[in-house]
Amino acid sequence: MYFRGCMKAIVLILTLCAAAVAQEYPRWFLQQDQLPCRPNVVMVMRAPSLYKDSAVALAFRTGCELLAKYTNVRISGGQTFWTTEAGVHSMGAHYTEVFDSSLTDQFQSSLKIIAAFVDKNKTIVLAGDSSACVLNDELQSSVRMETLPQPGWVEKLPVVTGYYYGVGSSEEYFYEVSSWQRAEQNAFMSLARTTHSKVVSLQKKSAIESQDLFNEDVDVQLKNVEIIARWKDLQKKIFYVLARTKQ
Amino acid sequence: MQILKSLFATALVAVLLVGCGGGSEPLQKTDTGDVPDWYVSPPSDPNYLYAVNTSTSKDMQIAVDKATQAARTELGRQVEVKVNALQKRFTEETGIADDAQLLDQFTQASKTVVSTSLSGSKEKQKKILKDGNNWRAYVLVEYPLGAAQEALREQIKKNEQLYTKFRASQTYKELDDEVQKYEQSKKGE
Repeated sequence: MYFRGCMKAIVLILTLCAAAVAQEYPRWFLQQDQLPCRPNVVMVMRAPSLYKDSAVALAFRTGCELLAKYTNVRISGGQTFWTTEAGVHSMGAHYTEVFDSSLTDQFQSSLKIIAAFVDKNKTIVLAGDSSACVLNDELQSSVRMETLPQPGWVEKLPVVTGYYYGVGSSEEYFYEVSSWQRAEQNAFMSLARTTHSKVVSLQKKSAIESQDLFNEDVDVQLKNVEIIARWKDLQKKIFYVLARTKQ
Repeated sequence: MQILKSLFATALVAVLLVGCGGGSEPLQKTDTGDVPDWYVSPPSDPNYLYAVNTSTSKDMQIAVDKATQAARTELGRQVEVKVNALQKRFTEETGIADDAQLLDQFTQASKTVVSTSLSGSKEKQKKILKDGNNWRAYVLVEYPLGAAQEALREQIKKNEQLYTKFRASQTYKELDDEVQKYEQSKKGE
């Protein structure tokens, strides 16, 4: 019984340590707009299962594909909601993203891995032009998420002439990487909807019921999307990503 | 022994009363937090249209999408009201109501503007909270009125007959002034 108690205590301590380490992030990940080089891409992927180098290489290749998408992509699709007295119901959503995949090979040959951060939960890789992307000490340092206050952009979009901004959020999933990736994708879609969206609504009202069917279609070309910043609300367990594109 | 039994029974009853007393806490735990001030009192600006909405869902992003899309739909309705009012002023001032073809062309132009004019509408503010087992999203969406007016002016310009009929009217001059102010504000922001 004493042995079991000790084992439980050891497991608890190890879990707490892992959780503590997992809340540490490099500054270049959280403040991507501070990077001195363009283009650049930060890719978050699962922690390496065996070889750290393989995980970093895979993240680099996937990051180049992501950068190809952010450089020039056509997004089209839509989603529909149906409102009744019982509430608002999602009737489904469908989006397609079309981009030039040959840019992936171009970025793989022109960009280099500038920095990598690996811990138990994730692999984060920064890729950019090696000659221009020299990180200062501050950007290279790690910071604990609990020391960072909530940035203003989480609830209020920045206003800068000539740019559209979008904030994406995600709840916490089992794999932290999924949360970051989903938040980034949601920021991307928010930019698409801000750039241009067509809204069609049909309202029906009778003596006994009322219904509202509204549909939103998106068909836009996005160019040079930049990820600006990231933040995690540790208390509510919400992940936030800020992105922007030129108007 | 009897005293101990009595004490134990009293303590048990006290625990049951405190535990099952109900109190003011609801059965389902909520963490709604404060409703944002901007949701209760949306901002007001003559150059912008604003719409707010709140929605819940077990999936956070669906809650945000529902609220945002509903707010954008409300913006579309506000734009339609503005454009319909403008249409009425044009028809009264220029008398195109007697010309069925011109009226139809102008109506088409107005409809096009209403369905495609949401370019630049943005989620100005957003707040996400946990509400029991669901996520609740509050959203404030903003849309520059000048963008809709600019789109309507461009639609009118595409039709030579309409443009010839309207450009001398006072309503068109006012529309043109508003659009120029909007274009200046875009440059000078």
